Amino acid sequence: MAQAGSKTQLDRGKGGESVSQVLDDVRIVDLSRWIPGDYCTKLFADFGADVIKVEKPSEGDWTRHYGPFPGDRPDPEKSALFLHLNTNKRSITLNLKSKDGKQILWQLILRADVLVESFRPTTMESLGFPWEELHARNPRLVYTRISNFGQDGPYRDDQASGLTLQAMGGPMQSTGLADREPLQKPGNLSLYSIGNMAAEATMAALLVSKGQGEGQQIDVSGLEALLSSVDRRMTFLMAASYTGEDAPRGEGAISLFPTGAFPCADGYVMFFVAPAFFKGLLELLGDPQLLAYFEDLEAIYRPEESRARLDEVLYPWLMSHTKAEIMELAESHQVPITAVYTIEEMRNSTHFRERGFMEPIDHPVAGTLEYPGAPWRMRHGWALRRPAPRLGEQTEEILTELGYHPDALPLLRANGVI
Amino acid sequence: MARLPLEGVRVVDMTVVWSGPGCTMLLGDLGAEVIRVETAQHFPNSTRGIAPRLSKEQAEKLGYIGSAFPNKDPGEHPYNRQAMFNCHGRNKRSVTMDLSRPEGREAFLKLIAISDVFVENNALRVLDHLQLTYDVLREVNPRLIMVRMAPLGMSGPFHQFLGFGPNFNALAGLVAMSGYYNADPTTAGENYHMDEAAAPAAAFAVMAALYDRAKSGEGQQIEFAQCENLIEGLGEWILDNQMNPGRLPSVLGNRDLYLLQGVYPTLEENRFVALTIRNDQEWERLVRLMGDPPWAKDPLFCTAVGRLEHQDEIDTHLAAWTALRRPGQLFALLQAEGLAAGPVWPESVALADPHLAERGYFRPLTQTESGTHLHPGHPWKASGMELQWSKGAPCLGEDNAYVYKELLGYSESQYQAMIEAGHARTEYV
Repeated sequence: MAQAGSKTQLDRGKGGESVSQVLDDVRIVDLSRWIPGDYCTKLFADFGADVIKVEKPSEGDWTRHYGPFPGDRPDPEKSALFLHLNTNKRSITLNLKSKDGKQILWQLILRADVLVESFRPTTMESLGFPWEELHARNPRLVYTRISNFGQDGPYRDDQASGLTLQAMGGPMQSTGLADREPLQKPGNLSLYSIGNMAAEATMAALLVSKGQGEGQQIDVSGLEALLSSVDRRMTFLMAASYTGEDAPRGEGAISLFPTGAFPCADGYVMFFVAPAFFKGLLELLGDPQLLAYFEDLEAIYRPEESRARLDEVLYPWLMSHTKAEIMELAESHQVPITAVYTIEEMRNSTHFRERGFMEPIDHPVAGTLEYPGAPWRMRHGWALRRPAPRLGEQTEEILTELGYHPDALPLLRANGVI
Repeated sequence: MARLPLEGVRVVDMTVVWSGPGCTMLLGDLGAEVIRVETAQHFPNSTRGIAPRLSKEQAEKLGYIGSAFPNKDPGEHPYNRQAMFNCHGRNKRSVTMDLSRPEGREAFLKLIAISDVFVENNALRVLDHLQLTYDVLREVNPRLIMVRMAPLGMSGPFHQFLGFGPNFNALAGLVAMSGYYNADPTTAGENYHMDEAAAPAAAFAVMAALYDRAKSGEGQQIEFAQCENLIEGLGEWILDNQMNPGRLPSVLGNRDLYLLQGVYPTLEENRFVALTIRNDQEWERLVRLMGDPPWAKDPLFCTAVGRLEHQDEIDTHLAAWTALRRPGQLFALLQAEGLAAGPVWPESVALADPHLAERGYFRPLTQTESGTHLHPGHPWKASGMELQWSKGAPCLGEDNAYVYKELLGYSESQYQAMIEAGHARTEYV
């Protein structure tokens, strides 16, 4: 019999250490400028890490310049995207092309556990921060590099956007309608996914660093992170490897069983009536003729005819009920149908309110806003300690921590270093 | 080379469909021993396929996924050959036990006692009915980290609601923003983004809890509300709805709030190219590449705002130009001008792509009843450790003998008794 209560390589201490947030002993230097890197380090910051954003003087993170903004008026301190992605972080401005700027970055890196960057491949090398030197000077450093296509390979230097990465990496070819062009996912979701995967990778390498004292370089290719998604793409790649066939667009996974958004009296509802729930749907609709038709077990192998019979009853029923009514009725019949909420309906829904999911915090420029709360709940977990930093808000504070005398700052500022 | 961070960590995996298995796949990559606990008495729909028994003819009528077997042949045990399961089953083991009977429960608790992590993403009531909640399991193993991937969490008025990823996408506000430009969400097609968002985040959560356990010495339960984790990816729209009171994200389809972008046809049927123009210089380079056509000289198109206001017109012209060229040709031409362009890839094109081949993304793996095939690979690369890539997805109960005898210490006769009682099986009842 195997050992009970096994010890892993991390378990060296006696236990009982005091912790306020699980990652409060982790230091991260964040050079990233766009959604994937920002979201990667946000996860660490929200769970307690000290994340120092190194931003370009007077410009800062790209997400500061990409809205939405109040009244659609661009303001680098009021970008909803930046405010959301950079909670709990500190900001220092540094000109990485200047000698003093490089010197300060080295100082930050030498005391860091993790360095995250999302420049074009080879940029860090030309700035004077090649991996060999980073590793030599801080052997425990985890160095996470996020790029579109990875740090090598024929497409390394190619250009990409969220849309084009999703086109190549995501399940886009099979998303949308059969007679129209492929459709991307809304918002910035795919870029968040790349950041999510980068965070998972960084956490894994951090455990190695903390447990074994060895740092390493992590190469996150946005393309490969999306190809590795369980949202259909991995399944379809496996399927194509098995059958040689590509996934179609505009068909449900199983055509008889209704999935997707359907109109109802006051909006839309979302169906995911997999086979196991089909009988429940028939009972919910309560049409005796339809129930009789589907008593023939072979009906599921005539999907087109059977679906047409179903739709004759389904659509009129939906249009005579509201989304709230349908969700309640479906739940009572154990059928997976839910309301399609707008962002505002979600914010105000009793469910998320009662769970206390949203959390307000005041920002000196943007004011008090409610932010999405914990992505998951655990001991020593998520906390909103401070809002996103203003550009360079902690420059002095951080330089002081590095041992710079306050009198040295005006010169650094005058020379455009900070 | 360093040792993998989860070497020596044992994960009990009771996950279904995509989000939970995606999480445990990542834990397995990191060296954890992942043991799927399955039940031969219940076929987990949409996990190991659509039906436990299928003829080739029946499978063909079940659509692309329904027939996704090697050579489209479901074989004697379709659940061991399904792409939807085998894509994420790498490195994992499978043991079967019927948790509703005392001997199955006893085996499960023994396994929990020698494990570090337990991940599950069933409807909440499943473990509640089985009385396998954290309170019970903590008594057996106080160092256990239990992850409950309940889509809506473990409290709140909707928390028991039944659903799959798309149902919770809808409650999150994602579906209302989905669809073609200015169209409604019925045009959006499929989306399982909640699963995509959950897999790496839940793996992160497990690692964070292991890190915490190393310091505190204690296990814990993680409440992983997948829908809330998904909503993190919509944060900017939540703030926008407050900054601009009542404003909702527009349905943009393939378009962008600030940049000209779209998906355009090519010379090949059902093949498309995606293109984003990020500034005036890129627009000028595109116009030059197209041979300076007169339509493109319209001053209305010279600014980003103008291009967005007249995107319908621009799209018509761009589509006429792209439709004369092949996807690979467009990719090369547009990239040569430094433009963000990429073909929309069908799976077969990705599988044959030279960049991915050079980076070794797709890798062969052998699955006992499916043979050796290329599989989608690790999501990222590490310079200092060799991620696990040992074997294909486990057949149902493939590791029964290993788990019962080697891990749990059952004697041969005790193991035979578990077989005879229908706990240890390799076929669904």
